[in-house]
Amino acid sequence: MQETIKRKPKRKGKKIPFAYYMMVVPIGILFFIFHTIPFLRGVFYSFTDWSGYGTWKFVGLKNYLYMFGNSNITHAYWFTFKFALFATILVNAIALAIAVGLNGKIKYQNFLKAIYFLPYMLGSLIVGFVFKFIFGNLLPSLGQTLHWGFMSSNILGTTHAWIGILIMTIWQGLAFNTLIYLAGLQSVDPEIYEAAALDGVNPWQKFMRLTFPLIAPFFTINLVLSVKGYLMVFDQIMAMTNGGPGNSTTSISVEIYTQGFQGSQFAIQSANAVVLFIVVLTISLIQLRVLNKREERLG
Amino acid sequence: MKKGTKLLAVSASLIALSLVTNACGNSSSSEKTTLQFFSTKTENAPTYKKMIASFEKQNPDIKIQLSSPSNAGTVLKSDLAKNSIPDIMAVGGDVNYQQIQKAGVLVDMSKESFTKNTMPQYQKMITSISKGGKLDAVPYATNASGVVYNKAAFKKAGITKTPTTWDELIADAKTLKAKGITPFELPFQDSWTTMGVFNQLSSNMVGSSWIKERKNNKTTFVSTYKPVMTKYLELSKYAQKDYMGTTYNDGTKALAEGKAAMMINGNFVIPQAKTSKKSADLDMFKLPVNNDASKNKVTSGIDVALAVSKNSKNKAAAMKFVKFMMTEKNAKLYNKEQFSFSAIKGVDQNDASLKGISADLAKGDVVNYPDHYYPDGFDMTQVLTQTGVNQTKGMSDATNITKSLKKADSAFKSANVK
Repeated sequence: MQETIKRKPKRKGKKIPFAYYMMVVPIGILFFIFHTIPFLRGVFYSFTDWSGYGTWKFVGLKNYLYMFGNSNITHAYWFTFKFALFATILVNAIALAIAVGLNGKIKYQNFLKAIYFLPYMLGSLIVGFVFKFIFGNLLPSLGQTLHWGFMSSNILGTTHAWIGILIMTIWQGLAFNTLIYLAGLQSVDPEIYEAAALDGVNPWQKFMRLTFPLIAPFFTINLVLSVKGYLMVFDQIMAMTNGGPGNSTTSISVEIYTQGFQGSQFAIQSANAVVLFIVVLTISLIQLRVLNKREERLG
Repeated sequence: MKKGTKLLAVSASLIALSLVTNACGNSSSSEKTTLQFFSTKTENAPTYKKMIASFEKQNPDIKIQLSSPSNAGTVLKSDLAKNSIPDIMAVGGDVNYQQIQKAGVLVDMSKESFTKNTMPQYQKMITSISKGGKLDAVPYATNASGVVYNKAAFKKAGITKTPTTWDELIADAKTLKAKGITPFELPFQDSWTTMGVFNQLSSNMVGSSWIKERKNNKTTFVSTYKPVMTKYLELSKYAQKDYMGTTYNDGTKALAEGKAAMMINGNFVIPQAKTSKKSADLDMFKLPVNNDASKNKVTSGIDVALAVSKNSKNKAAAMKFVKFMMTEKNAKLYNKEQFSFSAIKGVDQNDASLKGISADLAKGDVVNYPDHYYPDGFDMTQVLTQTGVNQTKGMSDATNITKSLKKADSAFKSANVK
């Protein structure tokens, strides 16, 4: 990303067509009004004691200090990191496997592609409710008839509730990641494989030495987007457990929403949102740095 | 090229302009007085609409616009932030009321003629959560907690009389369990239902002044709530298997079908249960928390209280509508359709499936929900669902109780900031 900025040529004196401004400026203004201003206001209020309405005064860093002493908030961070780590690894590993499979010359390829893309078209909230029903009604009754102890009760009502949410997230997350990997695989020149076949490369080597390095940019995109998305996980938790039982599945976003809007801790949760923003930004930048370097090495 | 882009710019701005003018155009209408009527409940909208229709017929110069959004609390808060609250508000006797009352934007209702007809117990529930002890909303409809039971299931187990003491309740639970019927159906997957049990135990076992002391850090959950938690855990021992994984809908279904005999929650369970089995024969009795039957009270709170905005331009018209709603005829209509109780004296609930507790409510022999006094950010359900998970994992009661109450104290402490 930084390279592109550096490489930008200086266009002094040259007239830039008006149409380009027409494309960028209106959206830029809308973005500024509906995204940047609310964001800056959020940052502003994180230094006050505003409860969402009424009067307020500046309290300095009090909200930030309170955050780190609050066990619910620290638990939300711990849970979110754990969740994001597992979800990112599993989604990307499985999506890559599916993409490689779909890219092979298999029967009903297009039909299967459509099937795997279907979850992406459904909202997480809807999928969440469907999975809530599956975990709450279908699986327990199946488990009871088969006499499988671990499946006879609703996983969402146990300490393993987060695994239920993880399973649903993986199911839904696969669609988009598979699509990106598939696009990457299709961009690989088949002649490379032909040449490799002449050299007598085995399938595992073919994947590790050729395919994977060649789709490295797609890997980078997927990884960054997954981590970002899963650090902000919200919809499916609201649909499936509402953060419970206890606060075992309360992610950072869920904590911000419930405590900020329902608990009138608007200012404290604004601070929390600012911290979440910094965390996501830092992690994404580190990922881009590391993965871009790796791409360069491989290229 | 250049001409094209200019054309684009002009048409884009025209579209934008027309959108703006359209939005403005809608607000201008005839000389009718229009009142905004805001409701925090969605399910009673049909009843309100009926009342509005007959009111508008009587008062052709007044038009009432009802809005009952599903996330009413948030909408009301943002209205408050914009300093433009609706003319008339129907809110529960809870944080929603507390927040608008605290802002000092409501008309004092204590002098109105219709207020005098309401039960003093419910007036007190309003004044006790109001800033300055004022009556800035008039109590309208109330709900009642208790035990909803399936009569057929009781009959099958040979229980002829509903329990009036704790020991009788536990004895009945044992009888039911021996007959293969789940004594208590606890749908704790939906965490709010935990409060249905906890509130009733708490209101009957811990005095109402406790919460004030707790807020001033003069007492703790650990030092007071051990007996409450002991009973809470005892009840869950007679619950269905996997009670932490059962949803409210599935729970009410099991109750209606007679797989389970009792559900400890509120009167609203009955219509919900009847949606899955219309012929279900259900009734209620108050949860006998103590062994001294005379000490057991029904936990009842205000479902709907009516308030009028101080800044309303049509205060007189708004009051007129509130008065209209408070008439006996309309209060009865509300009771009948919404299956609730009235805060107005003499307006009784005569439905057969509420027979077991309607006498207590008519007498006003009630206590309020303790969680109506909790600070905003304090979520007791989080503590209670953790307690449930601990129990299903096999933690001993003693450890579970101490752990849960300690958690309640620390959660209370972090929510009790100001």
